[in-house]
Amino acid sequence: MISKSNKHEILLLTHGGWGETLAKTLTMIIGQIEGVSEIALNPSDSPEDFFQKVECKVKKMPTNSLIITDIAGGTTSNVALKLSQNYNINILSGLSSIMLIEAVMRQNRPFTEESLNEIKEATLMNCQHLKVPKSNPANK
Amino acid sequence: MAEIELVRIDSRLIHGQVVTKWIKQTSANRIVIIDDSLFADDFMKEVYTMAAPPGIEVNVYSVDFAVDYWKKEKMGKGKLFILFKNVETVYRTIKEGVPINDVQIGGLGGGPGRISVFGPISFDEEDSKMLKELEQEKCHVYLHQVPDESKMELKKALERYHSLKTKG
Repeated sequence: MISKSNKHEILLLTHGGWGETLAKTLTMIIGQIEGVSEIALNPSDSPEDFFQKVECKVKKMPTNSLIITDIAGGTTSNVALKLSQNYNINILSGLSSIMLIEAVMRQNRPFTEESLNEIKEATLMNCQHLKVPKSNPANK
Repeated sequence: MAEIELVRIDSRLIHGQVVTKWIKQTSANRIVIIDDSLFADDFMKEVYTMAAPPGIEVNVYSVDFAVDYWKKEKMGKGKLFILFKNVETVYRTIKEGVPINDVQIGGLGGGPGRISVFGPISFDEEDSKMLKELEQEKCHVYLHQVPDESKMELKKALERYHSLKTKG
């Protein structure tokens, strides 16, 4: 799923590496995905190991790239935030299928405060308690 | 006087397991991280403060500060969830007078000279000596990563450490 393109980069940081599976699965919905890569946080990684792996990758990423982490407050997020001290990166937490789709759709332009907000809003909108209303007076 | 609800050694400090599971297992309303290097790093202090769930206060102290604060004011108020990054820091904190009776080891990442004893928890020779000494001084030490999974008493973990060490 990693390939060279002029798309702005998205780096996924997840516990155990489920982001890669997610990205592969999403090609079912949105077709080929480019410029998305992942670094898995493995149970045996010390925070320092993981930090170094991510830093190696972030060093090579252009500014205005995007990091998506799975859990706010988790090591994936803490490490991304730590890197934001020295690198100009955008970070979103709460990776989900819709978040990644929304991000991939905006990959043609540099990620900005605004586009991050749009991705966040779209992701929040997608989370709903789904149920069919028992009786809808409008249909009577 | 603050009450100590849970004391945990976890090289990741505040992270997924702590935020989603352990905080809810306790009635803690204050997380205290005792770590000399974090105490000196304002940026990372901010990161860990952000990592805690809403409504939970986060304090970062050095060992000296924590010991002094305990002696003078019993660390203020609230129900504490105390986090340490490594065995050496908890050992020093106890030796210098903070009364910790139970220590949960939740995560100690691998590295050169370290032997994995229980999932992602590994000891080196220094760790095993310090922990043994703490237990001999009536501090209960156990290994427990997440609440829903089983835990292991220190005695068994040390037996495992020594048997794996001899096997080399």
